[in-house]
Amino acid sequence: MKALLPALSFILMLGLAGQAGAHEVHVQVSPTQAALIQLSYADGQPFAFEAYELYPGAAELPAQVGRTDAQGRVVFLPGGTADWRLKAYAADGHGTDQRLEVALPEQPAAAPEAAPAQGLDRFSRLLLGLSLILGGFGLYQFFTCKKRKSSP
Amino acid sequence: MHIPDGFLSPQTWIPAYGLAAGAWFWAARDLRQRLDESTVPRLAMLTALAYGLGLIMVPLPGGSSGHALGVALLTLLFGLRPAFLAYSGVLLLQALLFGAGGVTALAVNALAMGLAGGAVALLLFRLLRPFQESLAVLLAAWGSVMAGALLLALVLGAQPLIASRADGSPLFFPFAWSVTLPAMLIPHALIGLGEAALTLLVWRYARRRGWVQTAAGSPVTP
Repeated sequence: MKALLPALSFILMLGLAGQAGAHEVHVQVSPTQAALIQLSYADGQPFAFEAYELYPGAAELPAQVGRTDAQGRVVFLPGGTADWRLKAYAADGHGTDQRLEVALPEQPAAAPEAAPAQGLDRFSRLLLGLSLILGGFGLYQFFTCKKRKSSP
Repeated sequence: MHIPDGFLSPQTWIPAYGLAAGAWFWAARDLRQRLDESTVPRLAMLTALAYGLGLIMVPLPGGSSGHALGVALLTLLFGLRPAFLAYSGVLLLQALLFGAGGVTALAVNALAMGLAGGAVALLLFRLLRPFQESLAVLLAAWGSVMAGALLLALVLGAQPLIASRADGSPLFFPFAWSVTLPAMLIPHALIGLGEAALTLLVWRYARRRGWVQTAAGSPVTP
């Protein structure tokens, strides 16, 4: 009986050790190729520490959620999926919701689908907008003046 | 402050377009009587200024950024209706050319910033002008920014209640009012100060040039 007690204690300790092992989180680091999304405000400031959701294809459930890093980056593994949808939100209403085409190995990179007026740089778009405003009001003025002059 | 596409549920932006359509129709009525040959070039110039201001991002504490609106200035000088129409055009251009604000969210943005912001500016200006005109302009401009921010924060914070998945997770903008209200109002209280200073500067210039419509300095009627 005396010999049985240490043996039982040993078995119990082994069992507890097994239980403890079940609560461990194993960490393994391995180098791999990933896709990188860079988010920034219009003035170049990183869209840092903000919430994002990443959806593969037309899926309704996100494959990855989290927060952008200090540089406003999202890193993920696209696997065999080229078409992704990124939703990124700041609590103050800034953010984006757009589809992205991720270059898979052996495939040339494609540009994001929803970027506005891609052919023009920021300054040209600013000038285009100003010309549209001034031109629009000019046309309004032209036609209303013409009507006023032609009316008795 | 502009809400982008994908943040608002269709239950929000479709009725908002209905409401905005009515407001745009109301604003466009009798426009020719409200604008004459001398006011149209000024409205064009200040609309262009509002467009430019909306694209100049000012870094804010906390890592975010903001920009001035120019709504109060347009409203005080030209009245609520022309200002609302002009600012809606500004929002459309900013959405199409820069992706600043979404096309689906255009009606909500226009109603909150252009109409509510302008109406608050006009109300505060009329209430306070008998006491001190400069103070009235400052508070009108600050109030217009805060009114727009408040409405947009309420609309954004309502999204988790309006549209969610079966498991309760939000389909669109995920943050509740407890997050959106401070996140919008605190930075915009600072932005409003800049907007107020700029509005007063241009207002004084406009007064010196005789652009203000009556001798007493009152804006045109809404």
